[in-house]
Amino acid sequence: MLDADRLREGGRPNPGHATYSNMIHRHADVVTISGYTNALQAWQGSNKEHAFPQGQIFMLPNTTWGQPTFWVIQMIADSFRPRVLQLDPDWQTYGDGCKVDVVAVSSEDGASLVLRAANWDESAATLVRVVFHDSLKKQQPTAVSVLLLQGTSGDPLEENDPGMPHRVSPQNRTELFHAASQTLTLPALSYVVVTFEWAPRSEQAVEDWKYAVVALACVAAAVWGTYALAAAYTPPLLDNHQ
Amino acid sequence: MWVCAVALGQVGNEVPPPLRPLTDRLLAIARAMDERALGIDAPPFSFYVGYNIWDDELVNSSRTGEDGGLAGIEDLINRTRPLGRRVLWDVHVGDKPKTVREWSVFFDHWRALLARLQSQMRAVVLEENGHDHGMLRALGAFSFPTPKVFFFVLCPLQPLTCGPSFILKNPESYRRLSFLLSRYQLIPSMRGCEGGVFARC
Repeated sequence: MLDADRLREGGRPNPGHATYSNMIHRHADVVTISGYTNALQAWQGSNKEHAFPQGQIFMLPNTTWGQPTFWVIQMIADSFRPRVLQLDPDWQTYGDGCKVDVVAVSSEDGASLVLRAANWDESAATLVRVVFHDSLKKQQPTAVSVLLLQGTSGDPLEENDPGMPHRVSPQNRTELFHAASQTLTLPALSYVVVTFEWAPRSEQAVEDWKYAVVALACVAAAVWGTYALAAAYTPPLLDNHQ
Repeated sequence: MWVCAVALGQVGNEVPPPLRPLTDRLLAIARAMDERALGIDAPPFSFYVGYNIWDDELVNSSRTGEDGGLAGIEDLINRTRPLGRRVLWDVHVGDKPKTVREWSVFFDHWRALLARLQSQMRAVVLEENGHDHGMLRALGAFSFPTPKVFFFVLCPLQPLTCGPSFILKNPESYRRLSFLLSRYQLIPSMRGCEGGVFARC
């Protein structure tokens, strides 16, 4: 199996979209728009395009289909929430052996919280422990949904082709979040979007939520390392409406 | 009745320094567009400008000359300050620096620069490049190298084609081959293989 670290040295490193998107969310106060390039690309259309094969939607004269990057974009768009929650300590995975990046966003009233996690480790799943803030602990989520994007072969270059255009596409995998232990499993080479919903809140609860923050700590970066999502009283980081 | 309005415009794409002519053009366009917008009771226009700044330019300017590097960037920001948030610097991501972490540092420096100059300017990324579309590009790691030289594959089972049987000029084919070779341990390490791959199929 290829290892990204080897590519880091011998290859040409480039931003991956899920992690890049998480990073841009954390800079939403100074970056107002970010657009993936490119939108369209002909399937094996020309040598020039092969040299720059970064389209999210591929096309043939009779069909179009999305690549893994397309599905990541769709999962982000479908789970849009206006608030980006601060991570404490500041999430820096690169160089620390961590291959997981998580961003947390919420609705204005805090009744809905979304975690978007990318695990680009090619062989190891990772467990994330989710610890809610005290004000959230008092009330269990009324609904939890988990959407998983994962390859089928373990090939880090896996793509969708005209023969199997939906080979890599999102699946509902609620069982990846274990409610009793509050743990979330991130399979190897996967992108996971978890949505927690709470019942509508009182005005006071909404006010409390404004001071909630999701903190993320990398406890261990080994195989089956555990990451903890905790919470503390800190002002929210960003308003995504800017 | 549907009414469509264009409220954003780009003044040049990846326009390199010197920046003073670009700034002059931007201010002239903004003045004309504002007058026109007032005349038709339309909202004011916003503008994308700029070229691909490298992080070292924000910290320790690598460009020289009166309009290059940090001095030129600061000049553009200062002269367009009256336009407030209506000016957006178009940063294209993907080539240099390379990694998400480096880009995070870049935007930290960008934030610090705007704060120091007390500017309301913001950034946009109208090109997030990654040179791939598969799982690694989707998730957050790295793309394969684009081969800079030809790659030769020997096929002893095919006498007629023994020797350099085919040349892979196509990065897509090269990446497929690289993956297969490394998966089956035909090449102990792909490290530093930009110089060429010599293997047996």
